[in-house]
Amino acid sequence: MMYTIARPVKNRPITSQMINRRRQAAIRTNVLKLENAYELQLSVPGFSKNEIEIEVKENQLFISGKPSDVQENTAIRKEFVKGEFQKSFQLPNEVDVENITAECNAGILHINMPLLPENKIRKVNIQ
Amino acid sequence: MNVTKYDSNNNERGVTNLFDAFFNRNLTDFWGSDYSITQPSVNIFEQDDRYSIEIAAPGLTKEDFKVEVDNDYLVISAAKENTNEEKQGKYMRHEFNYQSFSRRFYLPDTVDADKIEGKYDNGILFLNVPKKEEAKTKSPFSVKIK
Repeated sequence: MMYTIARPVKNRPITSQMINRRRQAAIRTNVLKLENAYELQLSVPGFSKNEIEIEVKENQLFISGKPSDVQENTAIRKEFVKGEFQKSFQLPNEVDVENITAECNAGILHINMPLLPENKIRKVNIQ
Repeated sequence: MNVTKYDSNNNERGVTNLFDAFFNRNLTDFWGSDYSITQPSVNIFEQDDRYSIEIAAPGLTKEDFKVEVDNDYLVISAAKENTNEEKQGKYMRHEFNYQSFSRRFYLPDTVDADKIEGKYDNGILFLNVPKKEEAKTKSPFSVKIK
């Protein structure tokens, strides 16, 4: 599995209901195709930019978040968890990995991935 | 207006949700979601002197929110006008969109609705709902025996 979202609450049996809840805390992602770039938008409410790390390894993009504060446990209703997460994406060939930029604004992480010009996409000739 | 109870386990649609419910697993984690969420999630905490409400609605500004007290209900809504800043492009995957929503909560008699305060930080709207003086949990005290 690519990412885990939230640990189950201690001392409580895991029920299907809790698994449903856990899924609700999943990091939801929008993918936007712009004229010469892709933009990923990740919904990360509560996270500030110092709590998120982005790494590019070859053509994979890894995004991870680790909350620096501990959440109170006195909830009488709990629909989301600000929990540790990891998410990864396979990048298409035409993305210019050197020039990926990101910003975190109002709980949304925007990752801008410019596209390489047509003639720079690496192609291998068959001999 | 009818008030229906919000069920956090039942507000999702889509084929992946059927799979998830049947196999008790998160297909969504592997393949992504086949529907877009528009209703923000809410946490409510109770302290001795207040309730705190957290509404996870990223991508807005504090001016987009409207928080109203309607008789016994706290109504939280948002409407973002599509501005020119909106980038021109096509969504290839759209899993969330919190631009317009409304949620309401019943306020018990014990809260002081006039003193509700809020702030918007990192995509979460925090509301502070103080309890009335007489409803606060008091620390224990001893009684002198004459």
